Amino acid sequence: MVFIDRGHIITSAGEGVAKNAEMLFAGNHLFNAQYQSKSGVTYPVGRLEPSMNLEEGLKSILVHYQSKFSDLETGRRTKLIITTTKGGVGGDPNAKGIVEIVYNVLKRFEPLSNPWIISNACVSGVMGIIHGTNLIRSGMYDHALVIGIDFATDFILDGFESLHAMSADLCRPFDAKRTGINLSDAIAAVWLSKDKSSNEKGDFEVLGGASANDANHISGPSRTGEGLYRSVSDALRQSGVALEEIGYINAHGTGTMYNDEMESIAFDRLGMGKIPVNSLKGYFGHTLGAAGVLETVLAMEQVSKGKLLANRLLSEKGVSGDINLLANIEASQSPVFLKTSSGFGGINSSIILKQCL
Amino acid sequence: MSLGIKAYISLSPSGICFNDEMFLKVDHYDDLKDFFKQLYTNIIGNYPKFHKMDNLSKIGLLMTEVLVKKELITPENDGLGIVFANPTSSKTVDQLFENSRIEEAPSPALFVYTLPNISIGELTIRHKFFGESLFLLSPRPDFYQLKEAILSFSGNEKINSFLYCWIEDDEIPSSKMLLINNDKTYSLNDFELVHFQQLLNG
Repeated sequence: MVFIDRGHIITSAGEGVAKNAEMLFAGNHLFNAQYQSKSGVTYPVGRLEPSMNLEEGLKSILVHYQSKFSDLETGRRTKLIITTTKGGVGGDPNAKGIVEIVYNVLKRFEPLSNPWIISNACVSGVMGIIHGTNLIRSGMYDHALVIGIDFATDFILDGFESLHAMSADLCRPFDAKRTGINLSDAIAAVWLSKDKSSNEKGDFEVLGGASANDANHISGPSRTGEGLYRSVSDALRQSGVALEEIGYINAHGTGTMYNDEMESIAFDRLGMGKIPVNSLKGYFGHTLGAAGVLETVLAMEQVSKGKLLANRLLSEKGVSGDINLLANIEASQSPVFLKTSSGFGGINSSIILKQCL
Repeated sequence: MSLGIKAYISLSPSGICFNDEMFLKVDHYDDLKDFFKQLYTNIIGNYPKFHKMDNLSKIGLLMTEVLVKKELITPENDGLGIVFANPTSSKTVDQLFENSRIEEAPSPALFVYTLPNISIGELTIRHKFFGESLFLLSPRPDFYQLKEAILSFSGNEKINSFLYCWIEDDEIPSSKMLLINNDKTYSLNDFELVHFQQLLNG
């Protein structure tokens, strides 16, 4: 069995899961800044403290978890997995690259070494949890620390604008009037272990997970939701969970026309039309390589509170697939939930978690 | 686990080698674009969107094409776990996109390639590989990392073969690809670190 702690997160609303969850349950969004593009359009964005970057973000998380891996023997049996798209760098030929920054930081955090740095677009975070889980199951490691970290740099904001994927208004996943994504910085981490943490209540278990390619288009979601369908099917098989046991789906739900439509088709094809679904991106936008970890942490928070959040700003269902979109806060009916994500490159990742009772 | 290296491909300025034999020789090229075009004309030839791709995608596509042509990988399969790794992510196209952004207007055609895993996406699209994929940023080719990735992919029971590429985003073409599966050409257990380093650095 692989257990997952309740995580640690840093967002534009500050540090800590409880503080952020409180904002979400009050119905608030976390956007705290604006970005004006060269074309003169202003977009909402969630910013971390100006001093925060890849180096400082990693240090902050590693210090938080240091007591778990500082023992030499435990540290050697701990896999560090960092998930990011651009890590706040990219485009400047003179700047340090992600690998150099990460390895420099790690000099100060022995015995952790030889990290995996996963750069698989927007599924990186969920993929990190899947591989951390699999590496523990294989017996190669006893623990894994998965850190998702990304920054909404001008590089990325301008890029998504050039794809006509950005919304100048607050994003509204799955809504008929959705016009695109918002972007935010975020850092989120989870500790995976073969051992249930003795001093923490409310751990979850990672039952299983899998990824699959659409093999369709590099930036356009599959019209049939093929890769997402396959990754959820595989995750169910790996988990040994029946579809009826899943009480909640935390979807990717970016707020673009094509992505949200694709997800609805995949969940419909899977026969998941009755399971409550939300996307949390209406609260803090897309956090790229951090998204999978951040949203898994906040999904655990919802299930453990027994309350599922509404899709923020959803007023009219705007997808064709038969899915049960949460329009209000509702009671959670099951300890088991599914988290999915889909990304450029046509890659989809899904994990199934269960609260330990 | 009884795994072995089924095939080994390398890309260098002199062309593409398959299991240490020259598969396609390039005598002279003007620039990287010309280099990739010569290989494309001889190996692929009928996939014009190749020309729109960034260098990482071109390298991945060309090297994988050799394995498909040799019938070592079957198109339309869901059993392949693909691991690509390099130290510099999508450095070249990142700079091109940055220039477009600063000097004119951000180019969407460049932006979509500023994620390194797009190189895997492109080859999954060409050959309909529905299995798993993973892009790792690493300082150097790492035998233990590859073993870990294989073990982790094996957590998904449908994955039965593995494609590893050390994919360099550099002016001088230099990339290596290994196809690993259950056919015991070499045993992974006996397969020494030194041997792996010879293949990938030699």
